[in-house]
Amino acid sequence: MDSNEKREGSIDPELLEKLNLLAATPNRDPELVAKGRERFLAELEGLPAASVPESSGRLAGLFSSRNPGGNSVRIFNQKFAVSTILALVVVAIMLFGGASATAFASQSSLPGDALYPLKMGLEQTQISLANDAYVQAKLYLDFAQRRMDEITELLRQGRSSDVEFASNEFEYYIQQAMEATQTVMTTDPERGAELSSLVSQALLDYAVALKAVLLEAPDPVKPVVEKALLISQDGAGDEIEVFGVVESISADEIVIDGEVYLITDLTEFEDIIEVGFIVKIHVILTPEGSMIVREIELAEDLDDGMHGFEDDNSNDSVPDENENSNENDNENTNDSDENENASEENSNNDNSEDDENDNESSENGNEDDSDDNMNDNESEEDNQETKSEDNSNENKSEDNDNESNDNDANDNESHDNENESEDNDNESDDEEHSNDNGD
Amino acid sequence: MNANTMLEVDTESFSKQEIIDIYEQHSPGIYRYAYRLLGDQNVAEDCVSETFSRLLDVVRRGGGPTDNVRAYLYRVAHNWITDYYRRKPLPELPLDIKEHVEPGSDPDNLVTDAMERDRVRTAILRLPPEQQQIIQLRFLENWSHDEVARLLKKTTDATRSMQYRALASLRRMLVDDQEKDN
Repeated sequence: MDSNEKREGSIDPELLEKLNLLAATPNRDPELVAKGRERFLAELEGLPAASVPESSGRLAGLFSSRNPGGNSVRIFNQKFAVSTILALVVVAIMLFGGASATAFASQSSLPGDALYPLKMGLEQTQISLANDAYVQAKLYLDFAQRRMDEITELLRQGRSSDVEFASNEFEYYIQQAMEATQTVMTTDPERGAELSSLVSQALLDYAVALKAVLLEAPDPVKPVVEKALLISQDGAGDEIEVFGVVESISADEIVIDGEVYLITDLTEFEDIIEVGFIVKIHVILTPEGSMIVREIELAEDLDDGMHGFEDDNSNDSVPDENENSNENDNENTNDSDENENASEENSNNDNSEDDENDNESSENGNEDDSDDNMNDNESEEDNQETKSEDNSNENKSEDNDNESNDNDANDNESHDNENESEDNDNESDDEEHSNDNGD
Repeated sequence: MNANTMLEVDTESFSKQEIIDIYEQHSPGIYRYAYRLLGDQNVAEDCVSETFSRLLDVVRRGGGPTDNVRAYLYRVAHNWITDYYRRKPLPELPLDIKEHVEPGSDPDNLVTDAMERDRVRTAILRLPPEQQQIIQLRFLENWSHDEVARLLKKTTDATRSMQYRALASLRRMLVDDQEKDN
């Protein structure tokens, strides 16, 4: 199988072997299977007609044609009854002083507080009352925002142990919001699209906020926040990769091959970027059409390969470990490319694709040589240092103004990548890097 | 199969039959998928039931998957699993079992494998949900990038990038820790 080979060829064999441990699943208990099917068939028999007349979709169409009326009314009434009771409960809470004061007080409670369950209960009630996926999606977003605020507040109060709960809830609400959006999409594409753009925008905001939270968060909580950040980023919009020459750069935008990309708090600088450099950027396309740089690095960095390969979660791994995936082959390529680069910056634009592939295959071939990697690392780092020095010198002589501007821009970002220039291990401090060639 | 001609013959049995076919065709796959992440047969069966119950529910409300039923089912199942784990903190990532076995001793392979499976499962569960889905579907269910991208409603570029990140994280959790300790 071609595709299979390719797939397996690109992943660490040791990892693949581990994943394959999960491949086999025990035979299903025939009794449970029979019971499950029975329950399913029973449920199918009781299937009432679709209550939405203009049902979309083939399956839905088939169902709406049979058994009109009948059960759906009953279900509607049932739902209505439940909603009414819930509404009365809420009204009662509002009316009666003490209780309402409690409910109000619960609004500012945090996970781990005595009143917190009440806050969550009220939220659930609000969601059940909404009865419409569109409204529900908006509520989910609101509640996700609340969880965000709670995370910040918990960290401020030093209550790290409760952060994971808030963060799980945050992820859950985001997922619910996205799911509700999809539901709306199937019945009402227009509102669905509107919602989808709302959700993406909110997620982008969360991602930016979480990025800031992550920097402040104590080490034990970092993985939790990181996960929430990843989810927000993944949901915020499609990500694309762009190569090009930097034409100008300021604190909040960068022009690459005539196209303007935004630099935000979300942007991670892998390298010192200056005008004239060829860079590779990962861009998040927002629903409004703006392009936000999530990650930027020198294109020639691709050659020294898989830089930042494994640093999804940095805090519990030794920085040097990140370099395990750099091997001899890569390094050689790297050396020559760097020389070229020092003399003529534009020269290796064309190479980038090939180099990427080289990285992939050599990465695999060398997986076992972990002992050798330490040595490689050291020389690798040396190379990098030389490289960045070369680069900045060059630029200085070309254009002094730019040099200082760029440094400003980099300074602004340096809180993200604490050790940008002095220390080439800086990737290990960032939460994630995709080189897009994991496949 | 032309749905309309069939409808004229026997509306009810066809529509039901079609749903039953979907159940027969996909429930084993959904079970496997659920079991891998849940590691418990009963809970996995629950996930299967709930997933198909959800399908009936959404069809009943006039929605339902218009084209890709399979993707829909896997998405619902995965949401169920995420939800299942939501209220309880994830188990700690167990240490690699091999480290704790005396080199000379002859460990019971079955037990070792079972523990290692738990370790892999826990590591996957520590990924963001979409990355979990990618790992499962790509490497355990052998879906193509295209199919996965359609399920996640993303471009293949985006899913490739996510897969890359997922593998890097998993490697860090499962392979490197071990090397570091050795």
